[in-house]
Amino acid sequence: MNTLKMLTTLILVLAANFTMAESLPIKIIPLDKSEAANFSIDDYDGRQYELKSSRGKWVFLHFWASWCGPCRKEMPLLYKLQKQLKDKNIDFILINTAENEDTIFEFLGSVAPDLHSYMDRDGELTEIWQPRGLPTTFFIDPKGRKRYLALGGRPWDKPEYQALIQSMLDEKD
Amino acid sequence: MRVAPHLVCLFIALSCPSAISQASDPHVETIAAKGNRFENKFLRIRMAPRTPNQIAAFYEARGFPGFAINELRNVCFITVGVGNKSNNKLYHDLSQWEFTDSMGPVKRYLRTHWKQRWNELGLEKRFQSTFRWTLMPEKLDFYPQEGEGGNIIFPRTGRPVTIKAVVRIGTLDRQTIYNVIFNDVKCAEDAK
Repeated sequence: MNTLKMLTTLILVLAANFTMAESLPIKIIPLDKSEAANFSIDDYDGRQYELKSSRGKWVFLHFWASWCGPCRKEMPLLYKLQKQLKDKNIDFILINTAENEDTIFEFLGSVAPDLHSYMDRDGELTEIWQPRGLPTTFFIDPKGRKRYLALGGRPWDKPEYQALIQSMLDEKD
Repeated sequence: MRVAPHLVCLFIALSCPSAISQASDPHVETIAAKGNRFENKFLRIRMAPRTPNQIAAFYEARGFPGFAINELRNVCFITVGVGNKSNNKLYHDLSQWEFTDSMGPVKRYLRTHWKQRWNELGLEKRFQSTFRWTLMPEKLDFYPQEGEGGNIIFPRTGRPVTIKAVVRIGTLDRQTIYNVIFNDVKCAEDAK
């Protein structure tokens, strides 16, 4: 009887896992929880950011460039999302891929003036992270592990994406 | 103690699908695209030849210096988009694609060519990075519903190119190889 119970439990756990995987919003890919390598980067004012400084918080790590259409389209939504999550346990880190100060400043000024971005000046950090295309967002959990990948621009204001972010913030160890 | 047989079957099916479906040779479908677009239930591929002026405008707007623009004006750009419409992975490997014209195989310019050329010309690293991002990925496993794209670059010969785009779709043990043939893909010219 114990074996039967164990098997039934196992099946239920597996089924629950499948359901969770299937319930992720479209183009959100679960990652392998491998440790995110530390990096440091600065912005156009010389302010530095180091990934490890976000330990204990989620990180919304977003790679973009002004020349990519989906990045331009997504930017106003990112701005709203950033405002919405301002006091939550998540750091919003935008990284521009290989453009100069003028381009970034002019572009952000026209679409989302209060949005802040760091600069991957020679594109090497972006190459290390290997986004599948631009834009790409990685979610790093408070333990510094890669948890999710968002492919392309996502409609972050849609309920399923809001629910995903809320579920991360609600996550207990 | 007996375990219900249907539970055992369900357990096996959930935990090790390969146990019930044997690996088999992939099914191969070869299809001729009509024009520069192809779409079926499982994938879409499109080819968009770019004129020298379009290419120059794109890279000029990204701040590329004149010597790099001149280099790019003289080659043939085809912007390729691949979309995985299936619920399985789509496996893309550009080295499996074939490019031919009336004289035989056509060699595309690889990333190694551009790296060497840009270094010879002294193109800044940031422009090299941007340029690489505009190239078609060499190898990528597309997730369900994922679409990616980028440029494939040839010498300008004046001859139309036949492109055999090859992708695999499916699970590890059950795949279909799609060979999609695009005939007469022409390098776009600027309007005279």
